[in-house]
Amino acid sequence: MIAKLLSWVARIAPWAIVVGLGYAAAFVKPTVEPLPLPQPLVEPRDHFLDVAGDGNGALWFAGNAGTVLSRDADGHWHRLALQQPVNLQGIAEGDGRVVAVGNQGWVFVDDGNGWQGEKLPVSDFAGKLISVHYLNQAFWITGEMGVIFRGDGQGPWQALSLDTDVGLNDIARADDGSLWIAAEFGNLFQSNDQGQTWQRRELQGETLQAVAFHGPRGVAVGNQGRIYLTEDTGVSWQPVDSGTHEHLYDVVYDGRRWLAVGAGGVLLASDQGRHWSPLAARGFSNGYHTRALPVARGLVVTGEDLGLVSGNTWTAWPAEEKK
Amino acid sequence: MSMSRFAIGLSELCIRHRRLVVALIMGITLLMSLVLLRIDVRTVFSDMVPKGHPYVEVHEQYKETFGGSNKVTIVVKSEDGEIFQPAVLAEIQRVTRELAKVSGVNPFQIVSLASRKLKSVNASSMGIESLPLMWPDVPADAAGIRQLREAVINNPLVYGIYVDRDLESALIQVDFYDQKVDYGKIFPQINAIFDASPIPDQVSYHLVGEPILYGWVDHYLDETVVIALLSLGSMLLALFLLNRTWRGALLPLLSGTVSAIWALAIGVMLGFNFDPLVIVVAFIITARCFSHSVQLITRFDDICDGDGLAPRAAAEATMKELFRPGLLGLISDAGAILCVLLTPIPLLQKVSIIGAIWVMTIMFSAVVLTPVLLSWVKVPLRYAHPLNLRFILDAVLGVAYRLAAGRGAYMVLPVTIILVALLLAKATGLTIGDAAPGSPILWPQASFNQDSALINKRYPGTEQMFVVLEGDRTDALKRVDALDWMQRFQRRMERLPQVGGSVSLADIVVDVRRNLYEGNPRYRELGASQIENGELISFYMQGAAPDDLAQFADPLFQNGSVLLMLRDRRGDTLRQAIYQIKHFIDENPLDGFKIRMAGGSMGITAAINEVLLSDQIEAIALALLVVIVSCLLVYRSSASGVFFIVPVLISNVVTFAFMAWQGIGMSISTLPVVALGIGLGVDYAFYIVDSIKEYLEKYPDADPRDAIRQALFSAGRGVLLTSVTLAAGVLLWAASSLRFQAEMGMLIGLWLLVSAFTSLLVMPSLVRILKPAFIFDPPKQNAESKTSVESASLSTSK
Repeated sequence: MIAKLLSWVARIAPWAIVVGLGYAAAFVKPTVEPLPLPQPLVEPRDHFLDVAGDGNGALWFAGNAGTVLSRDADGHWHRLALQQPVNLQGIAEGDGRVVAVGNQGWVFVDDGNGWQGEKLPVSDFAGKLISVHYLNQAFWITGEMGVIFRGDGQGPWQALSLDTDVGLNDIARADDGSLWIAAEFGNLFQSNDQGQTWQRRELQGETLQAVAFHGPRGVAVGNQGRIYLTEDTGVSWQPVDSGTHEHLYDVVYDGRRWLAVGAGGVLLASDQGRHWSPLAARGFSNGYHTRALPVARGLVVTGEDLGLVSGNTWTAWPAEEKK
Repeated sequence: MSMSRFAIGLSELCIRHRRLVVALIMGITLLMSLVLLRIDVRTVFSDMVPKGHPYVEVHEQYKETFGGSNKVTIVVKSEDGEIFQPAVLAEIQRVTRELAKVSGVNPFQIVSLASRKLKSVNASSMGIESLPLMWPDVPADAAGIRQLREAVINNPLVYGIYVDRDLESALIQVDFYDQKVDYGKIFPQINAIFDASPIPDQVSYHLVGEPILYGWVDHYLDETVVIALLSLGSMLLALFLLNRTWRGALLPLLSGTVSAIWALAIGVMLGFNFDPLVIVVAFIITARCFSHSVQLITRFDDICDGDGLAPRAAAEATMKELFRPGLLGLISDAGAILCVLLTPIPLLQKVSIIGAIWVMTIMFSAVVLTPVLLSWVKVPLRYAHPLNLRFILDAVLGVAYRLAAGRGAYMVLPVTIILVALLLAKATGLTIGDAAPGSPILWPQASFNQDSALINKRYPGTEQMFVVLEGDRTDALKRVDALDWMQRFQRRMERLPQVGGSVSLADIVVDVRRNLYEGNPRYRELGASQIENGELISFYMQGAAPDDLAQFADPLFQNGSVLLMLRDRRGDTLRQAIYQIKHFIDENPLDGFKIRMAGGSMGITAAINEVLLSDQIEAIALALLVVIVSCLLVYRSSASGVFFIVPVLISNVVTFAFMAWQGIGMSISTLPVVALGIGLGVDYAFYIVDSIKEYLEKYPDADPRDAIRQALFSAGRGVLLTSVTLAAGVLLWAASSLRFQAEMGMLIGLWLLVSAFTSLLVMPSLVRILKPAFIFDPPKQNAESKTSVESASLSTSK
């Protein structure tokens, strides 16, 4: 019986192989298992235009396509895509909340329970909210078409907008409590009554991108390398030579010196705000940088790329930090 | 008529009319030689393109505008700091201008810092102007150079793409018309531009691209010929040493020459060109020809020497005896390579046709001509040289015999199964497409691959692929959702580490908008409406030539492209890119658009890889079927086919494992070698097993061990002699400057040795243990017919 079976198998086997090969030739089409495409912390097309910190080591970066990159106090990085994929322009932290603003009047608030979005009433044609800062126990939002909003991130936003077609790029608080806005066409706006009324100051014609104060001294920076210095809390502003024609997008005081960043890899430093010189940071890229934030370890800079200037070294984040 | 009767009739006829046979073959060879004068040795790009593949259709439709597959990328690198020095900028301009004069160039597709196509849009109080960055003139003073530097840094379409981020080099891209491309001219003409450099010490040049790659292949043609001749010479020397006679060396050479002339001449008559890369295939087939001829000579010597037959009778007996395995081997070889015909790539189809013809010419050049010429030998071995190295062969054959005749035979099958299983695991790592970065045709240290590494380090990637968006109406590309789709698609694709970057019309739109807003990156966004996007595009086109946007969109803005720059051309890279593209398209339908992929050189390569991947099982399965069916027809036994699959399986698994280990991918260049290898793997087994069968047919009561001994020391000697000789010859290819040829040399050498040793060490044991019926219990008619065959007693070793 077994012999018969084996003989039968032996006779069948060659034909089974032939049929198997024929089947393979006709029907078996190999396919390729795709490799996983993990979400990197930072994509090549990411641009993080603003950065905010809580002073305890936590940082938030506002990116395009509704991306928020955050780094907690322990140095762990997280990436989040907001529901609305609008380009985010500004981000600020205050009173345990984080507020991000972006195009088409979108405001997003994270009070620790996740991000909630809201669309503020802005122009259909120019509705970009450009910056947000936490000043005087409130979040201040500025944007295109003279838009100003104030709120605590919980309740409704109070509109304090200017009736003018001017982009308001940055807002800062002077030590005397006055608010200052750097704006298009060389305009500075000042308010001494918490934004109820604003006085306009025009400093030549180039757009001003940012303004910052420390004591009576304040610095405003703008396009074409323009820098203006006040040493009397804004009573008078004097142009100073920056040594560059590149646009400058932000200025900060890190407790020791003034620092400005801008297009073309410009990174400037000045002790008193009068004489500016390039700050060498090995590895600092030639790209643009839109915001700088002094932290304990150095200066966080963001824009086309992001990282930390510490001493004379640039550490690209998050990749190099993770290394 | 049975095979044996046919062999008898043919042998008698050929030997009886031997003068006529020789005259006919030589006459035809002479005529073919005249035809051969018109041989066209060159690489034709269109031969490598799989016809009818959707990627190829996209490529063919849009290659003139969105970029062809014959792009050359040149990097001019400053040896001392940034390129923003008058002399270096002038050199970039000179090279850009000179490239327009190169043969076959598409003058509308030369892009560099010094071309009109790279421009910046500037908004000022005077209005909006779109100006070339460095055309027509190089900045005359330091201020102009500083402005240029700032303009480059602030232009994301230039900075990092045409000027590296360290500002130390500039990239020039030039495309060639597919139908006009002549690799033999482009390479020297471009090098002549560099040789004429006025500042050779201040800059270095780096260039890559398909035309350059094939230019290098062409450059090494002389070396290839020298190696081929040396290889041939060493094989002849080895044959002379081992066979000890001039005829033992010269008759295989004559057979190989006749076959080559016939096959190549038929190729010329069919209008085929001869690709230098296919020389490996030519070499394999010539090796097969040598092998058959050597088998005949060895058998002839055995018969003359052992049985004392006159040369004429011995030649006739040799032809009769070896006709069946010879024919079987040739049919299997030809059939296996004909399976490649199903792969719809013209180069492979040509190789398949010429390969099959070439193999079949061996029937005349070796199987017929060699014994006919041997019939004129007067006194065999009279002029044999005194150095007799046969003891080496005999020692090896003795080991093989002892293995098959002893208890070791029972271990052969399980050991073989274990080894094959282990190697099979390794063989599954075989890559479809190129397995390593750079070109696998050249060595890693070759300047082409060094240049490729440098360019891919400094720039997004030299290997390009485009995806086409076909809109349903004019200006469809200006739609916000269409441009947004491009941006999202680019973002997704750039997440792949293998994708260095991408460019599309959307990048231009957002950059124009940024410039309109004083260069503020916060405004590097699409316009809010189709009208706004249209205006942004028209700003860019102010003062521009109509073709300046041709790389991204047609003049009606109905069809556009997204260009992906890949860091390498490895099979895995392309498959991953294609998968992600398909995945994104499926997940993100775009109303009013048909998204088609994939053009450009990498689109073509991806198509080739897909065809190879899809057809590899088919080609291998069919080639194996050919072997089985050939055996079925010749031995009239289905089991014979399966039996002969064993050496094919072993040699293929070993070779595939070697390819995986060495990082040799299954590509358009290696597939014909693999297909031929299937036939190659079984040839030797035919000779040995058939010799056992012959012996047992003649002496039905003989001990199988005697049959094995006779087969090993007769046919086995021929197998060992040819495999060692040919392997020694092909291994010389390892010295080639072309990595592909060196690797193929090693591959074929390995294949020959594995096939030979499988036939010598494994097959006799399997015969003894399994006792297949087609050998031990032949059909009646075979045995009967055998009785009418003129007896020729057989010798064993000397």
